[in-house]
Amino acid sequence: MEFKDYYKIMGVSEDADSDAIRKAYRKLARKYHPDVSKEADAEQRFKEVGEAYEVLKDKDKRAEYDQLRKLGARGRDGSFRPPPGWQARGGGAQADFSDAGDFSDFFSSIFGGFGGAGQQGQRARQPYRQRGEDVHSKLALLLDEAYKGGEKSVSFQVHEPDAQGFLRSRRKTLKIKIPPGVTRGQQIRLKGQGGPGSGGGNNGDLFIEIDLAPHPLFVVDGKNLQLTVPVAPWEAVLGASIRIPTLDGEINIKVPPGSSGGQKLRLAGKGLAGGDLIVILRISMPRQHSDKARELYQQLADECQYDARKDWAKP
Amino acid sequence: MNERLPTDSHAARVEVVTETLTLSLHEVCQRCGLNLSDLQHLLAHGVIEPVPASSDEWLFSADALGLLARAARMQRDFELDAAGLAMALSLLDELQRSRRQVDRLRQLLAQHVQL
Repeated sequence: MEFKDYYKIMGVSEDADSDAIRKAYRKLARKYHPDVSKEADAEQRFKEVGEAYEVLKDKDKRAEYDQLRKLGARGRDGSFRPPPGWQARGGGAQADFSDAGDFSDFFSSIFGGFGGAGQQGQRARQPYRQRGEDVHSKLALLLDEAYKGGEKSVSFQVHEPDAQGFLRSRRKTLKIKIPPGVTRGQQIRLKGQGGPGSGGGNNGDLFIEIDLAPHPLFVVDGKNLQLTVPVAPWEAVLGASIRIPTLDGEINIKVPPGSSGGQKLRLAGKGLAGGDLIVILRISMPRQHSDKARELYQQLADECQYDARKDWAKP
Repeated sequence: MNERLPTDSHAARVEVVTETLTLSLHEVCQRCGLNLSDLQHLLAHGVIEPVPASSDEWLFSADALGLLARAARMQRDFELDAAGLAMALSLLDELQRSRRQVDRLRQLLAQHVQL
């Protein structure tokens, strides 16, 4: 088991007072809160910070932790083994854990608690009828998966009582069938898949908010999709029938004669959940031109007498 | 720890509830772990809005439930009072919209300009 240096995690010195610890926590919580942060490991970091704060803000827990730290209960490889005879406190000491189910084995080995490998935990509230907790989770789908539906595995944490009636945090994995046509921000529910109820109460539900992973071609704008399509200059000028991808497969569309770069063509109903597909034309030039092509461009220049910057950069 | 995955009949119970699930004020309080006064504060600040209903009772959509679960987490983790919570949620909503917009524009820009 890895030794956790709570002072290092919080970025405070060993003699930091409670004000300094609270300030450090608030700063780190703002930085890593999963509802706020964009950092990839935000959730993990936030849990670590929360665990460190749980210990350092509490005079008794901090004293206990400091004692262990001083005892040098760290192996040469940085691993942690509680000293012989060390008793995890457990019991009433964890009554104020708000979300202690996610605390580490290291924490549980010192303080008990209902962390994954804790020896003692908080008694589940059994005697009266209570509905289980709802669990809220997010699921990022590829556009194709959202459009066509399909099977996905989702993992989430639930708190449930073990055989002795102690609450434990457990990672649950379910295979679910995504209905076709879901889009970003929609909520799907799996009834009864949240936390277990007690005293005959119903289980909570699992709510999953759909998110969409970026697609290399399609850009999602609400229910609409945007697709940038390269066209040759002569296709834009003369018009053309071109083949483009959609989430339903490839289709042919007509580029109207006299089109220009940046022009948008709307294909109704080809977006998400009844939205549209907006095709944006991008004029693409060949990388190289033959002598003959250059000659033709010269003829074009002479013929058009077009000044592309006539009205450009003028106040 | 191996776990048995549910069968297809289980998977069939997945439902999209964004527009179909409505909950009373009491159910919302019970499910999201916020008290009535906090919820009323969020309503007063326009952070959540009841769905238009034919009856006099306030009803809330499943979207509100997701938002309120976040509200409960933020209240707990940042020790916010009701007014601070309303402000934080509004700013967070704006932040998420802006991030989405930036991502969308970046993606479009990359398709039009060599970055």
